[in-house]
Amino acid sequence: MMRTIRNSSKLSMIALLVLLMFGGAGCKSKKKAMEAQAAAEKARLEQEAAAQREREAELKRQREAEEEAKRAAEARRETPAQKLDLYFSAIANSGNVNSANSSINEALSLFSSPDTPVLIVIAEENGQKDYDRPTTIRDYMNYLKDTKKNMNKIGNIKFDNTGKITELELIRQ
Amino acid sequence: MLNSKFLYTVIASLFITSAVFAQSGADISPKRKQAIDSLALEKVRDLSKYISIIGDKRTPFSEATRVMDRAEELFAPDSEMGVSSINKKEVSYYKVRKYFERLMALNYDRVSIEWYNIFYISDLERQPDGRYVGVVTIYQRFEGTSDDGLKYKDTTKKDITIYVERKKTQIAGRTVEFWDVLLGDIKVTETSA
Repeated sequence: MMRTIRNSSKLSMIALLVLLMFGGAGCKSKKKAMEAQAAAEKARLEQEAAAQREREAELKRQREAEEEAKRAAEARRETPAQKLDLYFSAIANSGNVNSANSSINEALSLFSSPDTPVLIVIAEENGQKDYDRPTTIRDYMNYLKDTKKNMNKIGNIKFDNTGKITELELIRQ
Repeated sequence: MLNSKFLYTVIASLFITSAVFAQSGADISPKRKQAIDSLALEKVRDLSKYISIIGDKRTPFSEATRVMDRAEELFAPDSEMGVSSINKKEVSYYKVRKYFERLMALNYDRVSIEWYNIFYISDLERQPDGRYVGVVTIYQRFEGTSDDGLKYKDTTKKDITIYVERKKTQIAGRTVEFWDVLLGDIKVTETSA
């Protein structure tokens, strides 16, 4: 009888141990499951954020492409006077000689010759214009480069049959 | 009746004469005169920039030579530039081209030249020969330094004679009249450290 009782208490202890072991393993599994769930949630959020960033970058690219296309269209629409204004401003505000020379060479393509005359009106009264000493377009653009002064606005422009400028009148402001 | 006819004739003649004089540039309006004054001052400021570029050791030789040509065009033929030093009493005068060449060859590693306080001390006045003549004063700050520590600096006051003349030229087959501003001799009037 006593032996039976001893055996049954041993069995109870074993059962308890087994229960405890299973119970502990169950907790660990639950924790692991929670961690996996958190990791999956994190990965999902990261994916969503990455997708959002990609969508925003794509929108930005589209906007920039549209703006560039708009600028190009405006440049095509620019009048010769506006083009000259931009070149003169770029030359006068250029930070170095090479950059200024590059703008000068580009701008020269608008003229029939580097020796195209440039007249500068210093005053006008009753239809009579007072001019500075006439110069050439090459010298005038070098003047802008040297003095960094762009103080004349574009006046009359004369063209030849090919659309090149043959005479430029500037007005002292 | 005869007197009033005579009076009308005199008045009409006066109007015609004044119009002819105005067109020939003998008598210009204050607005036009002011434009010419400004034009002449601008030429002095341009010279200041050119001198600074020529003197600057960082300026490439080809650019300095081109700028010398442009600067020389601002002057009347045979004009001279005064050069002084705080180390000697005499002022040396050089033809402007020679002055520019000496300036470019100065034996410093860095040269800085700045003109300031540019103003008329004698307004442009019409002379009997039709030219306008005036005098502009400038202050020049010169600083030259060498890598071995050698340094020289001075401030010079200079007077520049200005000539303005009405000239004509042909542009694309038509005659264009213009105001030609030419700088004359540049005299040193003061030199200080």
